[in-house]
Amino acid sequence: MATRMKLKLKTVFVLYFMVSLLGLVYALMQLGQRCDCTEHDLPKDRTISRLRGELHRLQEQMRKSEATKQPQKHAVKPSPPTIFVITPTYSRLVQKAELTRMSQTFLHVPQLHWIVVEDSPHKTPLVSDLLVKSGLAYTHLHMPTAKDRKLQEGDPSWLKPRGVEQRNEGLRWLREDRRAQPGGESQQGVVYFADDDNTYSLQIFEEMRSTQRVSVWPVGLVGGMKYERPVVEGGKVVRFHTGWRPSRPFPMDMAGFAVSLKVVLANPEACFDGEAPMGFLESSFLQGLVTMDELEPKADNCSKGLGSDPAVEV
Amino acid sequence: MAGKAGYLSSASRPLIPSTRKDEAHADSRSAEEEKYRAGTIARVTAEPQKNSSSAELNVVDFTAIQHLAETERTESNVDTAASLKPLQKDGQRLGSDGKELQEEDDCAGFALNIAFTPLETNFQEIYFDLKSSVNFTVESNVPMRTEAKITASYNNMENISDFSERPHWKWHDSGLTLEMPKRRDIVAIVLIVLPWTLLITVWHQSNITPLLATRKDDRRDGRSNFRNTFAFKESCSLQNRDIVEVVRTEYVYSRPPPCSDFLPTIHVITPTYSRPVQKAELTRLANTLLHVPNLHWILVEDSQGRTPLVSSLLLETGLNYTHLNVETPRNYKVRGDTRDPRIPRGTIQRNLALRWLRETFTANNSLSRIVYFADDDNTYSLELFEEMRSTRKVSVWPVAFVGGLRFESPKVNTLGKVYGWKTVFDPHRPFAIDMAGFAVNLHLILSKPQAYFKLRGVKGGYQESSLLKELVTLSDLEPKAANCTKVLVWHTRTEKPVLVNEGKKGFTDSNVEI
Repeated sequence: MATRMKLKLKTVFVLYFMVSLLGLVYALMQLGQRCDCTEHDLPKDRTISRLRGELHRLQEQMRKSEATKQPQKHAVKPSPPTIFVITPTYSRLVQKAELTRMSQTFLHVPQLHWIVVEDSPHKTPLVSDLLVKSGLAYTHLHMPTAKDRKLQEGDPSWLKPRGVEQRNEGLRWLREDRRAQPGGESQQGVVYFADDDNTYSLQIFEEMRSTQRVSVWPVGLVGGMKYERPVVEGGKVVRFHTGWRPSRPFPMDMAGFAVSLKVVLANPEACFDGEAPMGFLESSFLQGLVTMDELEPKADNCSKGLGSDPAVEV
Repeated sequence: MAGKAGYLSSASRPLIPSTRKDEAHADSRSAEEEKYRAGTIARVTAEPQKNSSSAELNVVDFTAIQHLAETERTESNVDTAASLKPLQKDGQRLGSDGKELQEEDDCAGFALNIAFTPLETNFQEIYFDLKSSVNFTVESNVPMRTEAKITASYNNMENISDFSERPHWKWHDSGLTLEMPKRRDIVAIVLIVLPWTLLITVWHQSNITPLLATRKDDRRDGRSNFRNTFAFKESCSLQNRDIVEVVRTEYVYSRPPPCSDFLPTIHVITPTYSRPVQKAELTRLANTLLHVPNLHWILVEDSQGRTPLVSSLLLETGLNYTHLNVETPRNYKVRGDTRDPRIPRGTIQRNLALRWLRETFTANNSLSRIVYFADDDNTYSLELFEEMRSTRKVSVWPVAFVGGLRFESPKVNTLGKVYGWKTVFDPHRPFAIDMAGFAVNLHLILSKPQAYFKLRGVKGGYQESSLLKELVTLSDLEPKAANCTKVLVWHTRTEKPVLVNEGKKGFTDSNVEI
């Protein structure tokens, strides 16, 4: 009888254990399932379905507005010329803030391709992540500046030209990339050099889209003055209104001109000369491309300030 | 010498200790006579012989009692056997320490084997010598309720005169009782308890009991409801984000983004003043704000009247805006452009905006509105505006480039509450935070109509505290930006442009607006 008692107890334990194990397995399986929670958290449910309805409504709205836009666009041209913006950048405290601001501006411009060239031996994750999150069409390049050309600590910012290698790298990539595209040299596009510490209004991008060769416009807060601008007479640029070294072939700021893609591709040797004296950087590039009377004035014959150049200080 | 016993009877005579000489004597005689009396396990004779160092032990009565149940106290079905044999090695007698006995020793090693059968046999070899006391324990692997009592007597027959020399017997009988935890039992208990604890903790977490039915899934928003039951609190804000994402990425350059009825409106208060970079700053800020849905920009100029520069800029952007202006009286104005922190800039303008809000909105709005003070020279990421939309009272986050640090941030404990400030510049301020580092729910502002930025007598860096201390306490602050670990706003400052060439001959045409 003792054995039987013993056996009974043992079986009881075993049964208990099996039952609890089964129950646990069942519950764990249930965890992965969606549940019917209509009795609980009703207000939250309502909010969620309301928000979802709102979401669909907005999506519908957008689709409708897009649909009404499309036929117009199709009537005019297949697609507007892409603006290729080449931005050299380098690592410093405010880099992320500057690039963020720029990306927020560029998001407003359709058909824009941002070419960011880092002054670094390799691509930094800060810039990579920022570009991915921005939602823009972009190309991320890098090109380190040679040590002797680099600004040292304590050097004033005008001592050595900045961004030369990076802009040239951007041009090189652009030429290579466009050559690989179908259509070859007859491609529509505009190339603009935008530094990461400037402010750009949105009209400037619309103005520059129609560039045939090289277009120019006023730039604010540069050259020791409130603005610099080309002087236009009879629809042509005759000279430049600038306070600093007006005898330069093209006395303007990097942000004051845009070059059409055709011209860039047609002159594969044209690039920025790092050895050029201070302020002649733009000229070193433009000299081979265009003469002053071929320049196209924008912004109401260069009477409106559209790009401006305040540097940012930490 | 050893004999196998059949069933045992209970011990009627607890033998030992050995002080009971007479009993022992009596026992030995009777034991000898009844050699294989029922109940006896083994009989071994022990005869100490002085010169030969040998002795034999006579185990008279060896009883094992096994309790299986209360009612079966005396019955036992365990066979036990015991044997005593001298230790020998190659014919040599060994001492109790296992070494060979020398002639002068008068002790001998004996091995007492006790075996319990049939369950789990346990052989215990016990060594003892005649001069020392012997402890022997019997461990049993039988089930828990076994109790064994071993009684034995040392019966030294003829040659020992003094019985007191005989070794004492000690025995354990308590070590084998129920409470000794066996490994197997522990395993069993753990296996039983573990599933239940797991179950209870898991069930407790879900805080919705019917985990048993399934729900029709609505996949249209593209986000799976897989973890729906556990993430209810997050799902609302996730839905908000969905709307914002859709609105932001799909509106395709129609600015500003369409208004949603369910997103809380953010009122951005920006004081501004005339200077060369003003238009550039406002343009940049407008470009940023154009991405934020449900945003209302309150621009307050520090001027006598609304300047056309700002008015036309605001019109052109297409933002939802309110253009106010109030001039700072001369005695409050900063002299020139010196950054004298003792005179806080923009205070009067911000207070005007607060007053405008209080006059325009009443407290019975169902949809919450958020108020944020954004200076025109800072950089704001778009994520920041989404973070502040869920503000219930006052939310805070880190700000870059303030206080002489890469960034300042509130200190957040593991419970998600703010308890201090990670700053170098005066961290003991009540709210050591920059103007761009917090946002306030409009309800709170409306409920405290006397709360304004203090104008006079405010130390540098205390301006934010002058408003916030009238609105909230430290514990009410809501940390955002992943518990204040991400930097979403940069206190950039625009370098004053160098305008040395102005005023020279013909420069510049003051009609052109910059």
